[in-house]
Amino acid sequence: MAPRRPMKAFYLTLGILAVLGAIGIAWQAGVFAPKRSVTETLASAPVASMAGVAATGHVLGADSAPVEIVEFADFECPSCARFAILEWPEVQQRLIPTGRLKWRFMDFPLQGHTASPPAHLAAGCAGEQGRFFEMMDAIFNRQNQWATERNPAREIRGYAKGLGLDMKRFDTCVETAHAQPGVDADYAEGERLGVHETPTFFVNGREWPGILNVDQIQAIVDSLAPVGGAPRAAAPARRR
Amino acid sequence: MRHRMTVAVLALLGLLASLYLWLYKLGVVGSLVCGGSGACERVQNSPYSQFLGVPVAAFGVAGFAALLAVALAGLGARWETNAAPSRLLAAMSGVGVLFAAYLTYLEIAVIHDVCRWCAFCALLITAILVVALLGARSFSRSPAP
Repeated sequence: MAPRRPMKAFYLTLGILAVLGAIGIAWQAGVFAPKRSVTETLASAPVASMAGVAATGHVLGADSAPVEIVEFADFECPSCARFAILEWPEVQQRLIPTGRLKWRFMDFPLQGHTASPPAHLAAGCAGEQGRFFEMMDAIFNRQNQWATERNPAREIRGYAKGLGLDMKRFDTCVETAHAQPGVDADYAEGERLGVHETPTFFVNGREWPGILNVDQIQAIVDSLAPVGGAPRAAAPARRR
Repeated sequence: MRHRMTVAVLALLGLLASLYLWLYKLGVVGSLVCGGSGACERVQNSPYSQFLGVPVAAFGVAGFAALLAVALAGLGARWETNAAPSRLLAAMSGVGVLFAAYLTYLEIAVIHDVCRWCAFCALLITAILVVALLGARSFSRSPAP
């Protein structure tokens, strides 16, 4: 039997490879992004011209809210769904009703996400009945179902039915692509602002680097609009 | 033993690549590094990125992890001179190659996009099969100790 080869160098190499790989993945996941306060982070970002954005998107929150967060999102993007499922419910239920935060959702279907366009159109059609954000929740929560369907529009139609929408009106909107100009306008604004991935957030016109979580959003609202002003009633969801 | 060491290294690389793709599917990794083509995301978001309701990348993680475990176990003193781990590696990677061939066919013929990370994993599993077969063959040639 041949003498046992020294294995120490092999295991060391394997270990180094594993650690390097794990570091690479963690870096991609943003684990090593610099930890700065929200104020510092926002102050370091240039202010973008949001004049065009004001006429686009789906809005939730009081018009007079001192903080506006604009989210460019794609319904087929896994990170967008993760944000919508883990962070958005608390933002919607706890922060927006204070009147200090207004949220603007901008359609940004990424090229190559072939199931996204019918989802954005359907959400826009739900928006025409004042139910955009409910439809958005349904679409993101079931992303794994419709995005892998051969006919995503049919699956998504079921969500509209489940929300109790006027289906005759919804179907007409989808068939005539009535809500499509709104989707296109949102996308054009995203391109103008240099958005190239989703989700991308702008806080009062300053691009936030990376993905936001509810604690960061709370900190942003507290820093830009401290509690003390009279709470304002949140306005219903609306297009533009 | 060199065969099993090589399989272990290749399996570790495959495990890391599959883990990266799986974390993308879970939304932990924002976007995939794919040469700016977007092909990886198109493939990962296609209807074929799931098999039996489970992300294909998760099968990759499980498969490469199993290959790594068998290869490392085969390097232990107990199994060093035993042909069974090499044969098991060959059988497992054979199944993996068939699965990878099916997925590559879907990419080329149905989705019309090739995800570089998926192609990398397909090359790795093919290389593992070749190395594992050579390892199993070396046992059949050399006399038992």
